[in-house]
Amino acid sequence: MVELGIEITTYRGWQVIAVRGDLDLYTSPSLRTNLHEVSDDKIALDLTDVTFIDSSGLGAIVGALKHVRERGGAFAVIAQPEGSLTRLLSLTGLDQIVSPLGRREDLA
Amino acid sequence: MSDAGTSFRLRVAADPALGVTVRTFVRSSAPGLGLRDEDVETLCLAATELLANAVEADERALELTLEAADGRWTLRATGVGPLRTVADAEIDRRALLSGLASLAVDPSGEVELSAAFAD
Repeated sequence: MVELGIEITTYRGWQVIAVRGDLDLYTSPSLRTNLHEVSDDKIALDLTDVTFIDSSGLGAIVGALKHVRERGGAFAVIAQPEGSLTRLLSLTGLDQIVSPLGRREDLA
Repeated sequence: MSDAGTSFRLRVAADPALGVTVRTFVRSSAPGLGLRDEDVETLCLAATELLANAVEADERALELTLEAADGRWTLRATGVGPLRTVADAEIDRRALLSGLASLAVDPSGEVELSAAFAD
């Protein structure tokens, strides 16, 4: 059974939540909990080391995005440009509201 | 897991912890079916979505059958339950699966996904 690795650091004023492993129905509740506990105004979710993501994982990301924006914060996603997240965003049409950055260095 | 010629079958409990098992089934079946990497990625997502739907629909068990013939792969599933919308992002799982491959759902609830091998 694969557990989700989550590491929280700061980078250029952003609180960065780096995720490692498979993000699916089983593991996404853990991410959802971590994301809702973060109270910073600028939150970046680094999915560079996510090896698989399904709609449950994407749901956790979109839920966090709504949560942060509702309180006036900034939310960014970092992911490989040709990775599975980009494909899933395109398939679901959610690429209109989530536009991943390619690298952590792209955080403004 | 069983192998009958070019057909592979997996029956698992509708348990969210078994997503890894479902994806391992797809990856381990791939060489015997001649699947490309892109096909494997598509099938891992499809099979995981079918398991997630089975869990959300309170089904007891999911059965997946994966086969290939004439340059196409087919994934059949029973025990999926009615296809649902994913909470939070309001993702229509039927639309998502249709975006991955040709989707058919028969009146008994069996789901079939089929597509030509990736180039």
